[in-house]
Amino acid sequence: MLERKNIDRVFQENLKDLELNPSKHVWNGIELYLTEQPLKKSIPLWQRFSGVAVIFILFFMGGVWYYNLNSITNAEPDNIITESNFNISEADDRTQLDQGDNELQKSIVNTVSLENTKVAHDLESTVFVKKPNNNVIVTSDDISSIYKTIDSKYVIDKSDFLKSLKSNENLISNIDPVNVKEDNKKAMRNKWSIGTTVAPVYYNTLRSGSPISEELSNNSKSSDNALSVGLKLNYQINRKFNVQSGVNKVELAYITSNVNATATTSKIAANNNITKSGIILSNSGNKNSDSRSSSIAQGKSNLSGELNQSIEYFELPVEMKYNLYESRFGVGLVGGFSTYVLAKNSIYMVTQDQITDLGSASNLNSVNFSGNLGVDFDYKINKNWYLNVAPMFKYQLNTYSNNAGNFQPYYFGIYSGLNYRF
Amino acid sequence: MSLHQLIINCKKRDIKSQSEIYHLFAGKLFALCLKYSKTKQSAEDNLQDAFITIFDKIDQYKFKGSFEGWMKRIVINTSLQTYREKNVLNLVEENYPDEVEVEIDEDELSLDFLLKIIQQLPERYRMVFNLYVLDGYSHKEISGMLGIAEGTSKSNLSRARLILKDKIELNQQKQIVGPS
Repeated sequence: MLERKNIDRVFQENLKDLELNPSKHVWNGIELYLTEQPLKKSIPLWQRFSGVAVIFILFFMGGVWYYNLNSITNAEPDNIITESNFNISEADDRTQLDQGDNELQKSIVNTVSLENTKVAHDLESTVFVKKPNNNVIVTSDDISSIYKTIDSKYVIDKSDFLKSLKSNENLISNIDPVNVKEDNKKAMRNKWSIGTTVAPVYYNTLRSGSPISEELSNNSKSSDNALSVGLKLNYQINRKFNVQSGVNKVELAYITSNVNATATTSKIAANNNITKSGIILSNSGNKNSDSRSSSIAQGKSNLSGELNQSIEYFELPVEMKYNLYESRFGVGLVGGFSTYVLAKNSIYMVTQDQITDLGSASNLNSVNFSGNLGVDFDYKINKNWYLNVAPMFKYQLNTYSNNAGNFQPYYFGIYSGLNYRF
Repeated sequence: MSLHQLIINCKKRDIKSQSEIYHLFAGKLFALCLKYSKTKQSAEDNLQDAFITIFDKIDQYKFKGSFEGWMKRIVINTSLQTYREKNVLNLVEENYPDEVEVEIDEDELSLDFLLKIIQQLPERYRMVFNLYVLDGYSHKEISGMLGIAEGTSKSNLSRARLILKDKIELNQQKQIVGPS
């Protein structure tokens, strides 16, 4: 005859000393965390994106604002079109910025932890919401209404909450509050890193046109043999944000095909922005395009081939990196701007059998800027060393002082490098 | 090396001591995770998260009370955290009589079977049953931990007991019918 027994006791007695071995990968994962000490995720993905968007837009706005300032002082007839285009983009950016600001505001309010309650408490019309996990969040947005509809007990009175903060000694309050200081300390151990960067660079224009001559606006153009090499310095401000700078030597080459170059001693004003005098440029695929060149071509020295513009800059970038995901493999968004100092500026005519120096571009500014956007992927080799690859888009501002038509250059590079954290 | 010394070394982030602590307690704490989880996979995830929390917050352990008890609380809390994340909107209340006492015929019941039927319980019932019956928390504490009313905790427990009883009895009937 079987004895009747309380079901609770059956389970208590049987499962009291139960031990079962987990798979090996559990320890492997813990060990990886302990040796790498990756940054912990704490903010939902959409909030990170909205924060990043605001930063990018701010940087971009800064660049555009600076550009506008420059174009006003250099006001030339040819720049008017460009300037008005920028005003449109500036207005668009403002709208986005406003939205971004709201998002940021929300994210700040929503992620307030228990320790920071007093700060948020000072914000207007806050609501104290108790989540099912017994944590309290302080919010002033729609979340409060969601909680209200679920169960009215989740919206709590402010004074009750503050009282419970003082007396709360239960299990969860002992374990739950994230020890922010400790986490930060770990993440902040090695704040600096330095590394090399190498990037093949693709140089092009957003609009058609030629910075060298109006006559060449419709010629086909391509980027060639462009390379950026340099050093990168990175400083980790906190768990999410890094600021990075450095210096890069950027070699850009831009080729215009089907060009006719005609030497003349004629007093007719040159139709181009090259420093070598007495050269008339025209599109060789379009014979009658320039009355001046056709009228003087007979019996004069005439070259036909590719026009190769070679530019070299020293680039000084200042960028913010926002970490989206951080583990052995990390992903971040990068935004910022660069200052370029012109180091080499030359234009060659390349024909089938010779290369002819045509001097340099007279309208290239000696200092110009770019707005930078990109994604950064990194892979940690060990505690100190990591590899990174960053596809970056760099939108050039005030590259040319005048007469560059609609030419709006940008370049795209995939920057890769080995970095050392210290 | 004594446990006390191992804990001190863990506070200094000594990986060998951390490994030793893990291997000393992984068996017991994994069993605990299994009781609170639906699947082995999620139990392993919880165990991993819990140990990361244990090593991250080991400075907060001041040698007051048992270390194993301190770790168990973190494991339970991690399991509850996972439950909360998955069940934010699952707040449907059901009414069952409070405090149903359930008795069953004591029989050879395998550990595997008992563990399996706990894991098969609906999430909330499993949490309440574990916290109350196996880990000795009061309904008042459970109501705080799960964000539910005390009455709900009691009725959830009754419901859990009835489900477990049905499964055990069904199993016993099968065993009787089985050989013939």
